[in-house]
Amino acid sequence: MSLWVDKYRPTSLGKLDYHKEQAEYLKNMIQKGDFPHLLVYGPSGAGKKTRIMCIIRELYGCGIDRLRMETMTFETPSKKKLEITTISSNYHIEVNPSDVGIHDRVVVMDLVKTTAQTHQIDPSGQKEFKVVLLTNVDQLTKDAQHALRRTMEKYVATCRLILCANSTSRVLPAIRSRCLGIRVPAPSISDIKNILHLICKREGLTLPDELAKRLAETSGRNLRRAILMLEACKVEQYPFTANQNITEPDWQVYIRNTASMMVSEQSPKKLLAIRSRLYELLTHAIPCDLIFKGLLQECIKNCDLQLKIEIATVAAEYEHRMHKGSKSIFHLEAFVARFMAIYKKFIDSSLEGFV
Amino acid sequence: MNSEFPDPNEEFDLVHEEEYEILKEIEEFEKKKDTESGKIENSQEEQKRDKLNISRPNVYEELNAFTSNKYNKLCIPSTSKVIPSTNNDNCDTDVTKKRHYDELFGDISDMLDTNDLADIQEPKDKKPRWDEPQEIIKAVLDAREKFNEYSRGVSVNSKYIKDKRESISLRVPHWNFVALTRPRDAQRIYLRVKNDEQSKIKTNTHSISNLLSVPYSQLKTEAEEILITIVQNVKRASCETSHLPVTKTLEDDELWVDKYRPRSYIELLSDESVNRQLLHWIKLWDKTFAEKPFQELDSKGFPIQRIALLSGPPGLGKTTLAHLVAKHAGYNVVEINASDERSPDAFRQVLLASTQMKAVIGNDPRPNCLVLDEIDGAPTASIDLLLKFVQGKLIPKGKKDKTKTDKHVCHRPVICICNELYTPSLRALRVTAFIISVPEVSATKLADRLMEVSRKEKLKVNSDALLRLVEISGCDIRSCIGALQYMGGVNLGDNLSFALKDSRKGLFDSWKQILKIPVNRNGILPLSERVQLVLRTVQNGESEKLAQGIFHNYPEICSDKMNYVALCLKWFQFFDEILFLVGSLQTWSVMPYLNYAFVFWHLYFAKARNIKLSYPSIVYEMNQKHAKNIGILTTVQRNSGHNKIILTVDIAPFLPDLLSPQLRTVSGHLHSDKEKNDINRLVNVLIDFGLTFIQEKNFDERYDYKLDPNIFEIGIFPDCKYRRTLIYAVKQIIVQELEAERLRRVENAIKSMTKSAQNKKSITSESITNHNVTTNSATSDAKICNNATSKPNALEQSKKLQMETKDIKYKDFFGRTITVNQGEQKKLDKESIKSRNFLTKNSVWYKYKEGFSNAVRRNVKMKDLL
Repeated sequence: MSLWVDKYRPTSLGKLDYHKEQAEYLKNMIQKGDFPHLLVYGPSGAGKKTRIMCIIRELYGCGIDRLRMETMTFETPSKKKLEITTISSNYHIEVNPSDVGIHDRVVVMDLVKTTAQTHQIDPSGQKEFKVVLLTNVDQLTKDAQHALRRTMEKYVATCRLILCANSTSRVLPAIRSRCLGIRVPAPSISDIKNILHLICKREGLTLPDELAKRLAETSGRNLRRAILMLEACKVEQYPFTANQNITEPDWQVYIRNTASMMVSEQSPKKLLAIRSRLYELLTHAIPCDLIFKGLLQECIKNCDLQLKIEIATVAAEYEHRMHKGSKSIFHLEAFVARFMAIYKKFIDSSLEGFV
Repeated sequence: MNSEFPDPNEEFDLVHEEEYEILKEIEEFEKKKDTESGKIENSQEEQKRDKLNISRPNVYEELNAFTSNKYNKLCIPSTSKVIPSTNNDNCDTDVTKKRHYDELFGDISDMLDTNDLADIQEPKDKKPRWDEPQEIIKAVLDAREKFNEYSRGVSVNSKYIKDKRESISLRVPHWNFVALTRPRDAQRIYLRVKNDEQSKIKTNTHSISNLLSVPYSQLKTEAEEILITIVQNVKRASCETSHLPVTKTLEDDELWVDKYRPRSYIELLSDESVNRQLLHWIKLWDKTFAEKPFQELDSKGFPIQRIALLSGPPGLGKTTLAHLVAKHAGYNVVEINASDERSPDAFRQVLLASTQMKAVIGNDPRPNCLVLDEIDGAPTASIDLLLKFVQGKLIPKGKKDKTKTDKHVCHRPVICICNELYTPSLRALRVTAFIISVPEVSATKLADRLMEVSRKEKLKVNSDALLRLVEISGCDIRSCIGALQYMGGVNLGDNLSFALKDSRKGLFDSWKQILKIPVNRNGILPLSERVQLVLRTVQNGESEKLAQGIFHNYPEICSDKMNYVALCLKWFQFFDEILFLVGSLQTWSVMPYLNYAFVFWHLYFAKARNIKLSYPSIVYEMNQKHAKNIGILTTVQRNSGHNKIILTVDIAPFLPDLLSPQLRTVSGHLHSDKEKNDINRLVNVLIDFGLTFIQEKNFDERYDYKLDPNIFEIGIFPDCKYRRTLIYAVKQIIVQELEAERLRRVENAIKSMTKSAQNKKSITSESITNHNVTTNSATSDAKICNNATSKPNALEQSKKLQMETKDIKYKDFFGRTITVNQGEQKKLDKESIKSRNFLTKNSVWYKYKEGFSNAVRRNVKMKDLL
């Protein structure tokens, strides 16, 4: 594990750098021996996964370090073959059912059932249950989530589910109520700064405080991104300087440029140019909600308060509709066009005011 | 021959010599008469008829008895003399009828030899069997039937029509007859008896084979020749009378479509520019035949686009255009259409035959031009074959010799014709071919032509009706002329629905219908009609494609009013939601609402002016690209264990930076510590993510290392940031390091395995953790990873592991088994140096053997490489 992100990942609940109080609670909970299903949620880069792995390690010891990656195949009722990659140890299995798109229900049903139905043969194993770790639960289809409900109750004796999601809003209330929710907030700027300093110290580098602060800010309180940025900075230029160039993810820059195009001119021609850029983003597998978010954040910078509310409302509505459909380009472009329409009207009226 | 005669006959001959002479005289007399009447009688036939006499002996006798002629006097005694003898014979041979019958044929075959002899023998033959049973009659009838067949085969009628004289003969004729004696001069007359059975009688092949000895066939051929000439004469005569009306009716039945097909280039109805385009293209091929300078040719003197692809809706005259243009340019048209076999094999044959050979024998040795009609229906394999062939990549079957492939370059123009240009099977062809889309013929031009046709056919049609017809048929020339012909112009105005084509339209037409405001003579149609029209267009289905096309094309068309656009796009959202409901939840009940979106788009987007539409191919391209990128992500995910979203959003954007440190292009050992660290880190990251550099040839024939899987493609967006890329030499160093590191990891894994096997007596929990750490570091290395991770962790399970290790034969990087010496194992320490020893002692060696020269060969130890 040579990237700093992986290299300096805390491996036990005791070693966690922030939200220490929560870590303490978790430790207590595990030491009591049993715990309900968990739903860990929080923004990306907050350390959800790290925490989950710490919990599992706390449960089973070092045995979970011996990971194996497997490809499992499932068959849908319509005889379509699905392949999904799982990461598992003897004690737990990690899977991201949303990898298979709309067929995730089959994966959830088959995989969780087969894992849950097999009892731990080894009696001296520390725990009687296995852990099934499902990531990106908020991206599961409704079907899959419904399928999950019953399984969760039925096999509670033999397995514990740990669900990992970015937000609970798209997790069914039925599932939320069956789980102990653990919120992992994004680390504060100072938390990130501390961690960056710590890493540099261990690497034997000197990091100016200003740079650390800037890194933390540009990362958007995403620790993973902050560490990656730090490493990229180090490759780019060392020794560090306070105002050195920080690499931002390309897609962010790209979305920002797209948004500025939207603001600069409102015409069907521009719309066509923007469409090709949206296609570019989509083919790079950037999640559409991130595109929505990025566009909105950039656009809103140029608006007054009244307009901000209007546009945010529109964006929310359109994004919601996008999740109800399947062709995200329609919705993205609809939002762009709508923004253009609103913005043009706003500009025109304000110009009239001048005249 | 004579010697073969049966003895009794010879005796008989001798006895009746006198009579024979008289008979001869009669014969000669008759012969003279025959020649005089110009009748062509075959002596062989004659003889056969002679035999027939046998069947009618009574009549013969009676007639004879009545006559008192001079001839008769001669005849009567002869017959009367003969009769008793036959009777005698009959008495003798009554028991063996069969033998007689056979003998009879034997006689006949002999008799056939010479006329004279036959004539002489005739009575003799007659007499012995003159009251003989039916078999003989039948046999003779069969024989006659067989003969008649020749004449009947050609024309039965003609025979009966023949000269009346042929029904009456003075000689014994070859047909069925009744013999009569003319009382006036006692002349024997043979009257024709029409044989009703003629058609019923089947030929007896057995008896025929008996009859057909050599002389018979000779005679027969003579007869045949004569008959044939007669029949031909008759035929010619009948042709002269019947031919004219037949051809006339044919002409009347001819389809007007064919009748009024343009015969020359000038008569073509289609757009002149299109015609010229095709003609120009085909003229480019002239270079192959004549030395003319052209610009659009490639190095070998062929047009760059070797195939012309004509596309357009049916009935526009594409086929006619291709044929005429090819003819106009002096080519011989070879057409392959959907009715021909178009499997790849058959296709190949036709291709080669038509493009590489030319008619040598024919009177105009013009080069061929291949016209592939209805190519959109051909199998994709055939089209691939065509493309390969045209590009000269087709290697002839059986011939592996590459030098000869040059012969198989296409030397002749190939024109393909299709209706639907965007058929998936034509995808490859579209790229290379010279595409000419044949537009609709202008309505007035077509109406003029129709008018001309109706004038020629003397139909009374008014031009308004014709225009209407043209409109309804959608400018389909063929259907127009067809309609015109079969409706006869009489009630063209009333029955217009007859000419309606199947209303199903292509995507482009539908798009046009939606995005263009329909106009008739009175201006823009009323709103309600427009809505109806759009709804009708959309009803055909394929709404998804239709919407896709509108989405693709609207920014070019619509007005600048952004709030309209925003409104319309809301309908796209609606459309998508409905489609999702239908597609994933099978809620078909909401399906009909889809169509109303089109109405809305029509109302807001449609323009009155002419619009240019393009196919939304970008959707397909994007899907392809997306699938490719997802593939990359999946592979990386499998190797690194990172989530796809995390990979795309967080890791991939930084990887290009992380993987391109500043390195000098010097050889490895000259690098500074920092640089070495950088390389080390780089290699580790590459291994963690399962990435490698793969050597590839660039477009400009230079080698370059490409990342595989190329995760950079996901992280990097166009025109965002300038990035430093590693130069070739640095990449080379990295690749070397990468390989070395891989080996090292393999080795470590092996070491840790053997170590754990060795430590069976004193396993401490600490050693297990150590062990874990080492195996952990090697997880990314696939093979070893599997071995290592399959081991259980717990204390009691390590025993099981030891059992395993005894069985396992470790394989090194090259797939050779490594035999682990137990004695050596004890000496092994935990340090890696020791493990190197282990490796080197165990017959891992590497031979550097470049250039096959012993001068540079030396043994390189693994130790040196690591």
